[in-house]
Amino acid sequence: MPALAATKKAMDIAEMMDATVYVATVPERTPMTVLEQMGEHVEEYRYTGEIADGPEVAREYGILRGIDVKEVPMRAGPIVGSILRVADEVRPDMIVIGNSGRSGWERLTLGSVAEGVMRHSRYPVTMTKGYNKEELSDILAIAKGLIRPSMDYVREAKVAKVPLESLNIGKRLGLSFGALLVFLAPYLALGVVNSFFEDFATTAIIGSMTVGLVWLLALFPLGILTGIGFHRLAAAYD
Amino acid sequence: MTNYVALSIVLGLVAVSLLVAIYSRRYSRTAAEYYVAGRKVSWLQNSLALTGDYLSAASFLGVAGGIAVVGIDRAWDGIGFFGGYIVLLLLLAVPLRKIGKFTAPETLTTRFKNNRMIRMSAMFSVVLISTFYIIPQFVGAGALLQLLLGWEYLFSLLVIGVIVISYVAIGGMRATTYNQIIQGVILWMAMALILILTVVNMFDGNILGIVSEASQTIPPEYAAKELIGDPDIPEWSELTAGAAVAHVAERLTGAQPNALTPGVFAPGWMNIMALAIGLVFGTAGLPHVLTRYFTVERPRDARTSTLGVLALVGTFYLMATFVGLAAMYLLYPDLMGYFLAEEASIAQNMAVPLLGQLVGGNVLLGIAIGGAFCAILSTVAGLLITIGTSVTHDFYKEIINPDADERRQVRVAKTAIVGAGTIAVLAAIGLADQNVSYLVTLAFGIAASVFFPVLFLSVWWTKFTSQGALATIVTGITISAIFVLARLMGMDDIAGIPVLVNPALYSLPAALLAGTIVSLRTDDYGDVENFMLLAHGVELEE
Repeated sequence: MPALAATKKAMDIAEMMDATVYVATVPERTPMTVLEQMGEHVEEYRYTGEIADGPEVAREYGILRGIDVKEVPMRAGPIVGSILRVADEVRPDMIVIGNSGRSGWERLTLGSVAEGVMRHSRYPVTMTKGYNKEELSDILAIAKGLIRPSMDYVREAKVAKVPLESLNIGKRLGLSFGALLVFLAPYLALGVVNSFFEDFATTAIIGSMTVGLVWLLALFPLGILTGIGFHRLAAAYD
Repeated sequence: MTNYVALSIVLGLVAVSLLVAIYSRRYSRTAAEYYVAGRKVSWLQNSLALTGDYLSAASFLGVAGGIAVVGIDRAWDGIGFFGGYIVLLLLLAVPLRKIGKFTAPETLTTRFKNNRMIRMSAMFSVVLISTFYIIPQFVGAGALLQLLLGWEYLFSLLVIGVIVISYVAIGGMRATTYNQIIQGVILWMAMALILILTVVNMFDGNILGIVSEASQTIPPEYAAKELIGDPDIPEWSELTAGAAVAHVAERLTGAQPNALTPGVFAPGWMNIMALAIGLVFGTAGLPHVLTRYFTVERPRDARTSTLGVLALVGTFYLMATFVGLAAMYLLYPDLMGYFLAEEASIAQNMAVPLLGQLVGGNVLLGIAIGGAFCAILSTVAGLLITIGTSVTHDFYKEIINPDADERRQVRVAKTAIVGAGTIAVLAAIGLADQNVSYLVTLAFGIAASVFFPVLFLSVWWTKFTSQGALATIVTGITISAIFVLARLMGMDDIAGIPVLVNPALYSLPAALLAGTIVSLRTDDYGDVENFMLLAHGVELEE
């Protein structure tokens, strides 16, 4: 809702000045599990009222008002920083941003993006505060038609369509198994030595360090090296 | 007699970890700097989050604690927990991320479309394994409060249970990832600090000194059993470590095991192999570990993240091994005293904090207990979230109410979280005297028998069938659950088959075999073409 208010404001200004509106939405791409993201959305909904794809709404609304709208491709990152970086590229006459009106715990934990942009921006900033549903009714109608499906958190990797045989599943599995053997053979062999050759396992070789202990400790670096080697080799299939 | 110094450090540490987590989230939103290295940060963040999620009370308290009471056999826990990530890296990490589903059950139904039997049995397994994994966390937490505040175990358990469950259900369900990262860092540093101070203060800077003392020490749990009824029991608290070790050695004549003797805990090849197999294949089947792979940004990051985890947890368990051996010797009077006073719950799990107190006073005791709480908090949060996600996504939305909106789903997830958490607390009441790492290895055994085989076969075998998948899950869960139950009830064998320290020696091969045989006789390969393309295909640039 604050974003819609800001979009509408930007359009109003652009109409007066006969200017172009650049739309920027920064996804907060943090390593979160699905349920965490869902919890975020539910909370976001409390503040914003709608969850729709911002740039899409702006484009549609621009067509409605006859205003030139350009979308700026965005990468995930610190939100304020990303907005400022886009600003440096676009060199706008003005940045329009919505204030979500968070307070209390939410504000303490999430901070305010609008405030951050205002503080650091080298360009004039207009911040919309609060909103009136009736005033926003036209853009709201568009947003409601473009509600984002709720389940698009995890993206399937996009893969080339090729015949199954060319995937080299067998070769890949061979590589994996080979690498696995490098670690698993000495790992299981330690079990064998411990159970059948106890005298050998308890022979001290370095000070009081026994064969069994040295073997065990050596498995850690071996495992890490196996992982690194596999990563190198497997990159060929990426 | 409350230890206020330690208590305030514990509270401080937990508070700091939560505050730093909150701040870093805020910073990532409002920082003015735009760093191009964002992507690199993401895999490092993920490694740390995985590590924080993975290192639980079992790793922090249980591995070293177990080594301290029975010796080198329990070092299998550490190397097995570590090796599990290698299996995961080599066989499943990248394909699972590429398939890109929310939960392990959904990954299966991506291949075997609309197969509700598979989805439900897998969902049930997620809940069972994760709940079982939570129990030892609460056992550890209860013992910690017992040690820190002198409360009764039961009371401690209920208090900590209510705190942890409400933390996850109310606030922590959002953005726990940041907490995992911070807590991962705290855990690693706490273990390093304890080891360094132990070596410097007690062994004149010579880490091999630990081994030479341990090689002369009879494991306390074993010794305590042998000494039951012995008339000459000294006042343990008045003895030095060396004197206590010498006293026990004098009472127990003949060939006795020391800290480096294999077979004290897991006698015979079947027990050792059961443990080794259950652990190394268990990680790749743990639902909360698999879930976290879905948060990795790009599929190849799944590999780099895992390499980071290997380095972090590998060094962690290396340190824990030495800490455990040092604790056996240095805490010998305390451990013997607790065992013979029938306070096994402290003896089994509290070696790390007690060693911290010995080498670094109440400050390090506080850091160790605080670190353990962080471990418990982050792991239980990860587990409960996994349960919530699976119940909501695989069961509620799939079967009960497909049109549920997000608000409704989050509410269902919270209900499931509170339910599973409560069950875990109740179960923890009966398992107070078990080593927490041991209990976790049992959860690993079940995971190794269910999700590892079924995911492995699904991802790598084009001729795997839906009937085979169901057979794998059902066989794995049935056999492993029966043998875990039998073990906890103290049974020696089931119909002549010996009950081992871990069920996986039977249940993993059985599950693989069942899946293979049934698949060879049936032909519903599912959507194998698209599934394999997803899992192994070459990614297109976006």
